[in-house]
Amino acid sequence: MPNVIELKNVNKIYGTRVKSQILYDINLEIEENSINSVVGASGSGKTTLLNIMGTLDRPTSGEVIIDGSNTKNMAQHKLAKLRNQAIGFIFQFHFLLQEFNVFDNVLMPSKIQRNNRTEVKERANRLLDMLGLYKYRQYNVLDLSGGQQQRVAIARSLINNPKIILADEPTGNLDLHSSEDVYNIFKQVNKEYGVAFVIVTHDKQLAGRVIKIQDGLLASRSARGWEGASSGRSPGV
Amino acid sequence: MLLPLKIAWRFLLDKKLQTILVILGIAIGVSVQIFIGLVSQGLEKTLVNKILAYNPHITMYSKSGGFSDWEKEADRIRSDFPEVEAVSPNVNSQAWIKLGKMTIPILVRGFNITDTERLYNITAAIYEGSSPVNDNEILLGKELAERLDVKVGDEVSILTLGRQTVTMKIVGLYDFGVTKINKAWVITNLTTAQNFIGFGDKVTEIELAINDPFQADVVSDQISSALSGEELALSNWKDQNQLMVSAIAGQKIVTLVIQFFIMLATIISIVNILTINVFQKSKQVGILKAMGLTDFSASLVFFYQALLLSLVGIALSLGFLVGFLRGFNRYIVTAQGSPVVNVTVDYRFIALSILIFFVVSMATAIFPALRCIKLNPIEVIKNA
Repeated sequence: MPNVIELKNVNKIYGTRVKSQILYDINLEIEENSINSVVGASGSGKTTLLNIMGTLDRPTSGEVIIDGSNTKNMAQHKLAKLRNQAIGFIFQFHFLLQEFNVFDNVLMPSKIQRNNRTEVKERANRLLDMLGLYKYRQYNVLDLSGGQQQRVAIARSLINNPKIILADEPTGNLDLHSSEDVYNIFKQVNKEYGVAFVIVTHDKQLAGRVIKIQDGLLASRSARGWEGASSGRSPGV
Repeated sequence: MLLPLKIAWRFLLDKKLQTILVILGIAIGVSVQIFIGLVSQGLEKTLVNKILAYNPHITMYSKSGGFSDWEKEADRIRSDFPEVEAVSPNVNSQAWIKLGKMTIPILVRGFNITDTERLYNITAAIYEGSSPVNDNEILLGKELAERLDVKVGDEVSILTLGRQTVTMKIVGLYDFGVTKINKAWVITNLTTAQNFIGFGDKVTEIELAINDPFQADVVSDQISSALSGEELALSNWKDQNQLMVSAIAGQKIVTLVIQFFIMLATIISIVNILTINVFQKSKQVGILKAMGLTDFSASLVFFYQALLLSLVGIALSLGFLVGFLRGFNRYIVTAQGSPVVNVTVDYRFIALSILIFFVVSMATAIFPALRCIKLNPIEVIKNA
């Protein structure tokens, strides 16, 4: 299967005077239509990895290839366009815009794309229907429960028909029941729309590939158990 | 471009009280700024009109006492100086008018009445009778005629400086609205005045009115150098009223300074509120950027906010201005009920003030817009 994301020798160092390296030589491929869970302890570099995959952050060295486009020398506006078209984001805190109602929030990425066609509105309605939110479409997002808000964020991430959805602890702020709900939706969306998922999580792993990260190093689960994947350093597992 | 506008609108609606306060601030700032500008202009006009009402802007006189070739000079000024609107050669002489056994001092003024149209507009001031056309016909001012108890058609005796008595016929009565002038000027035609003082065909002065009274000193100098070498001297109203001229200049500068600071305060309030808004909405802006909104479009949100605030504020300010002007003309009045200062609505000045405010406020929106460009979505996501 073709890759939707490829990371090649990605390093990330923060700070100028006091340098702290967060990611070490990461080589990673995310296949189309796959579900990937990124697991690891707090501070291991999960979120940094996700932000680099989502082009929200740039690696200190290495290359990030999204849907065949190398982002290394891409201008800011082109990166923005790529993010808008190829990637959907879901965060721990839903990050909906309280100034807009549910329907407008779902449509926001398509409006950024200046796509005002009827089809996109129909798609928004279909997504809201699928997520059980159709009757709330005119509600203000603040009038919904946490689980409902996260479902609106899921609908929003899907509106531009992206190839990848990056989710950073999407259930971290939800109760057990709502968390189950969200994961079931992810599976359903993956099945119906063929979207690849990269989910940073520290509680539950979905069926699919598990990417383990520890101290900035990557380990993959293989038949032999956990093993270092991208550098000579031991992941210490 | 519509999405940033829509977002800007929603951001403003989300902070209603803040938005209303800043719009009110703009409306008050802009309207007060324009209002004091208009009052200052009105004050200047009122003062200048009062000084210039019956004063020529420039007076030319001969150092030797009288002009003999005044017609040539007058024609030269008319043709060479387009800014000169009225050229009025005249003959003036002190005299007395007889009232029973009393004599009242007067000033005999001889004009070509038609020449004075742009200067004193004597014809318009005649409320009874007509202009003096024939020799020994005169116009009397309202108060003088009342004091003498004479009417149109009566004859009066006027005593010259040489103690000769001349009988003149009243052909009309005028009222300039200034008692001092109405009591003093006895207006006649040029020939009568020349004969009255035995001046031949000479005139004592040529009085000029120009299109911009504040250029009186400049035009006066130009005329003076153009006519140099002759026995001519010029004086202008500004030199004669230096104290008043510097008072007018002073109040103009003070008004400008006040206007400048009001505008500055208003613009600072817009920039302030927009900068606060960037902080208040940094989460939203960060998320929008994460979803693919470009830095440029994100900064447009704050330009549109400045645009919306400015436009609504300006519209409201025009309403306030109408209120201020009506209130001023109604409540700030003299004992007679007329406005203390005659404020006229100068649309050009209003449009210019609004344009300056608008351009500067839009230009300063660049600061919050830059702040917005620097905003990194990661920071927002981290600090949620």
